[in-house]
Amino acid sequence: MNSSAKNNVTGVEPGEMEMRGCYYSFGEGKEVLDNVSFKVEKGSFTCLCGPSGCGKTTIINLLAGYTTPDMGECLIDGVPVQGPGADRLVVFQETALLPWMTLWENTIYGPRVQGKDLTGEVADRAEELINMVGLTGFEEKYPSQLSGGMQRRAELVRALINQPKVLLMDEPFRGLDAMTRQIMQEYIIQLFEQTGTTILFVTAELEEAIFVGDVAYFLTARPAMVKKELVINLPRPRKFEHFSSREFVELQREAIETVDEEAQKAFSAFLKAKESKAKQSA
Amino acid sequence: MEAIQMNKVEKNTDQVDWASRIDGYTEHTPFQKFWRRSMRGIFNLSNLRRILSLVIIVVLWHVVTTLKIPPFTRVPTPYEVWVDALSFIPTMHCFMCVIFSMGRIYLGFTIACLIGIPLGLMMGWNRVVKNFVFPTFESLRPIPVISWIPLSVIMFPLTEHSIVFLVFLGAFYPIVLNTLLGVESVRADYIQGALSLGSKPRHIFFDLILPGALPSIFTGMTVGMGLAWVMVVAAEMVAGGYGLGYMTWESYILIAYPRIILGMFTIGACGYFSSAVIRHLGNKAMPWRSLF
Repeated sequence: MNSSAKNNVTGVEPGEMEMRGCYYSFGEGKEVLDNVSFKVEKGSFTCLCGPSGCGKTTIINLLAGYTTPDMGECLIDGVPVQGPGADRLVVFQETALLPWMTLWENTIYGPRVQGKDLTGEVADRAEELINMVGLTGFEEKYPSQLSGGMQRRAELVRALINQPKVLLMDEPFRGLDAMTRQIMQEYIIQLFEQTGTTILFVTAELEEAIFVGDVAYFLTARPAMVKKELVINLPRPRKFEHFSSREFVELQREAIETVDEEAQKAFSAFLKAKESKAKQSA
Repeated sequence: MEAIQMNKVEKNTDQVDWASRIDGYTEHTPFQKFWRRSMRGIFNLSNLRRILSLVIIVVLWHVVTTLKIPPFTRVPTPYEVWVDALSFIPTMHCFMCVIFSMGRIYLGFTIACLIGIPLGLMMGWNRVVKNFVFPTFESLRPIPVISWIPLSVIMFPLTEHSIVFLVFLGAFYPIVLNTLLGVESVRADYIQGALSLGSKPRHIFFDLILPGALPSIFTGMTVGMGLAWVMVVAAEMVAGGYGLGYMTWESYILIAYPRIILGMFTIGACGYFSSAVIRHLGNKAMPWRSLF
């Protein structure tokens, strides 16, 4: 995989994103991010792991430009992020396909609202992408007629047709059953290895992060800081055999140790809060 | 890979013809198959129970009215109503009553939709509009629409106008309120996603807000239609003129008791028909919702 080469499917050069010293809070005593800095390299598959509720979605919202940090800055290709844009697209936790549009209408929604010509190149690319994720023949179906896994794949297509420089994925496979999840992991790896798009992938599953990613950042419990950077040197293309390789198991152990510490901390903080609450009411 | 599996599953969900699995089952012609299937669709245990429930209520009605158990002493029996229906329904008078009430309903209801839906959409879309309209709207809404009858009779010199106005008012509140609710229920991440893709406000409005609010709008229309019928009947009873409400009230004055019941049934049937029309329109307008 050559990350700097212009790709024929996405048609753009992948971008890089950086978060520099970001602070964010929902108000007094509700700090979410505490000096978070990390970098998503050009053409890399970067994973972001952390205990649930630690502010992973906030990071995505900041990078996407839906909100602005209290302090610090988000950069795309070295330029500060200003508002949402089609150069970095978010694939959400929940499906955000529009239920009232068919798969095809959903796919070409981006180009349509951008006022592009929908016949020639766009249609070809849409067909190619739909074919790539195995949804050919389902173009005229509504999202409710597709299975969960198919909806997620449709969402990938909907994002990729806009030639994003960076794809921000916020726990995209959450809520899928184990088998569908596995298939989706295969698809996303394949997609990444074929297109070379920069991907920032948020997940709570360590195995998933290690299996799909090049780099994984582990966050602390709330308020979130980057606790550890784990470089995953497994060979590509990734295969399921890697799950049982020695390198994988070692990485996994390292990850579990990191996360376990945080989980313990989060749990004891939770107990303490509960105790003080009980004291207050008594 | 999964796509192929999905195809298979979809095929398997076609209805299984269990009859063909019974021993000694012989192949029938397509017409015989169709006949069997539709008979099974009509004469099954669930439908029998449903019919039985209606039969029971008529029998009960018959018993309490023939035995003259209070408060049913002066209530006509089902048979009397049936006889009256046979003589009344084919008349021009009955037809005109239905036409008049229906006409008022559809006029008032259409105006309520034409004003209410855009108003609800604008209130949900624009904070300034909501700030201006909502307080007035919410302070008028607790006033039962029935209590508007005297005022509307004073306001409009023609009976016809005041009845249409009251129908409009009855349908207006639920339509506006549900439309507003529908706009506010459109998921934020749809809008975030669309903004990321470069949507302009008009795209957000026509591609997200409007279709997203449609289910609520149709709920509002169904509720509004119910209230429209309440209002048309009440207004006709008070203000007079033709119409089913007037006919029912007149029957009381003329001591034609079976006709009261007949009037009630006719109003019920017309109300049901109107709701069915809205449901049908809703299914047509939201093809993605009737696909399961």
